[in-house]
Amino acid sequence: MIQTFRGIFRDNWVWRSQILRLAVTELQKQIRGAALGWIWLIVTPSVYVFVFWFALKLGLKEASSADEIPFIVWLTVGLVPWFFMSSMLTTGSNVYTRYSFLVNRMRFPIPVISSFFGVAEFLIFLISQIVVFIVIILSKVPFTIYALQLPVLAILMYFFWVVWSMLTSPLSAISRDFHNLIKALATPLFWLSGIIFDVGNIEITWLQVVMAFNPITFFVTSFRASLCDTYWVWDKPQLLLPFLGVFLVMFILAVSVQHRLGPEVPDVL
Amino acid sequence: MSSKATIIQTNDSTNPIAVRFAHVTKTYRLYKSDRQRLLSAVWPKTKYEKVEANNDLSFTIKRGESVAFLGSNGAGKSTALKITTGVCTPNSGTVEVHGRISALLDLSVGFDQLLTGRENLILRGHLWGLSTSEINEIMPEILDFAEVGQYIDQPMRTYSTGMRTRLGFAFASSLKPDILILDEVLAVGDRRFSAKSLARMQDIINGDNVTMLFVTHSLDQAAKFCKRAIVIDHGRLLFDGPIDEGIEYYSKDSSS
Repeated sequence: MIQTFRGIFRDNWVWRSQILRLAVTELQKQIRGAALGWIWLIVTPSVYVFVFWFALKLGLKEASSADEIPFIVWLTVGLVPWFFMSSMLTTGSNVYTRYSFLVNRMRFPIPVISSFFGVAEFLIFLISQIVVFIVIILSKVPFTIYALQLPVLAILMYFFWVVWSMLTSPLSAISRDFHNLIKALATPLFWLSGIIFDVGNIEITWLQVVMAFNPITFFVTSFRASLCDTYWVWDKPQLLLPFLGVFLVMFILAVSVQHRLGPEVPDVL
Repeated sequence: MSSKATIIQTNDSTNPIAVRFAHVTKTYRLYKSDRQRLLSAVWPKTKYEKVEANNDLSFTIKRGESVAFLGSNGAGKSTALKITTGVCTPNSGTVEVHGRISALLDLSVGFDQLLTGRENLILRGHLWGLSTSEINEIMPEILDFAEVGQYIDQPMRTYSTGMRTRLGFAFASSLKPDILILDEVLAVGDRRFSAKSLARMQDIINGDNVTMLFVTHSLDQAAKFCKRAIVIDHGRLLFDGPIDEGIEYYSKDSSS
């Protein structure tokens, strides 16, 4: 297992230039066929932000966790990372089927497929981050020093979901049921993870504790900490520590799955 | 499946040994149903049927040799080539490969169906380790050989099987690999393309130190290119020796 662990790092290093190239190719594939191409990467999240703002603010009179921050800013800051997480959650959990030609037609280390797919989705996330900054600037919300933790959180988010993809993709390749299960869970997770409501408003203490172990909640909350609620994530151990625990467990599981099922993947695709 | 196999893979093209199999066994697991397969992911003791695709297979292929793999469908030839390429992992035994491999497995070198032919060539070129200028250098030769015409800028999914194979063969054979693996390439494509491919394969064999592993059902082709034959049946090595004896052995074996 230690060998598998080291192998994952070595392969990602050896193939680093190809990771970038494959990520760009993945982007080209996603944009292909649309005359407006890149514009859709901005338009799609904007439409979602508008729809949720309309339903929640105008319809349900929902408010943001920070009083002085307009709801639209609070909503956008949490919603945009969700788009990245949602792609990684569903498509990212089945990358071997998507890239079967890399798995069973040539010699290619399969954990690297998760890495470059993650890079492609991450680039889309960075582009859609423009929407966030436009909304913030238009709402005249000031950037504070706490915004400096954003790059760290973004990179942490990338690594977390790449590890997620390394954990789940072999399982999805071996059984379609597994991928169907994840797809079925994606929408419930959106509603349960505090993306469109403030988890802090839940008044049941034990439920708050359970929610702290949800990585989606962690990322949404910490992005809002950087731009809306203005505090350092590491100042709130009840937020950070459960996440780090989940990350560690998932990492060990991912290495174990790659070790045990990795060699079997080319046989079943 | 934690494999106990040893795999030695280097890019050392001066090593006199190109490919060596020592007691290589590859077992495929067949589950009764999808439910059983799902169960196996969480419960390793789930029952399955074993199929020995390669069973205690041993052979050594020296640098510059051309070897034909003969055997009926499902004998384990393709599995042996996949193991050599590094696509699949054996369950036990030692596999040694020295030199860079270019392989055409199941009639494809691994193209993305959504990308155009040209994008695929560029991507695969980079994955092989070529720089952009090196790719531009071999591109005209590939295009000229593959004869896909204007389709080169169309998505691969619009290609016919023949076009796909032509482009794949043109690409795989243009890379100047140390080891070229061809699995049933010439079974498709029209007569003219076959003749062209045969000529190119002859060129490659005549050239320097390229090792070729070749699966075919055409004994004429095998005899034309290879001096040595390996006959496999049910994953086991039945014969390893000069091509004419190998063909004789195989013809006798398959007719009886």
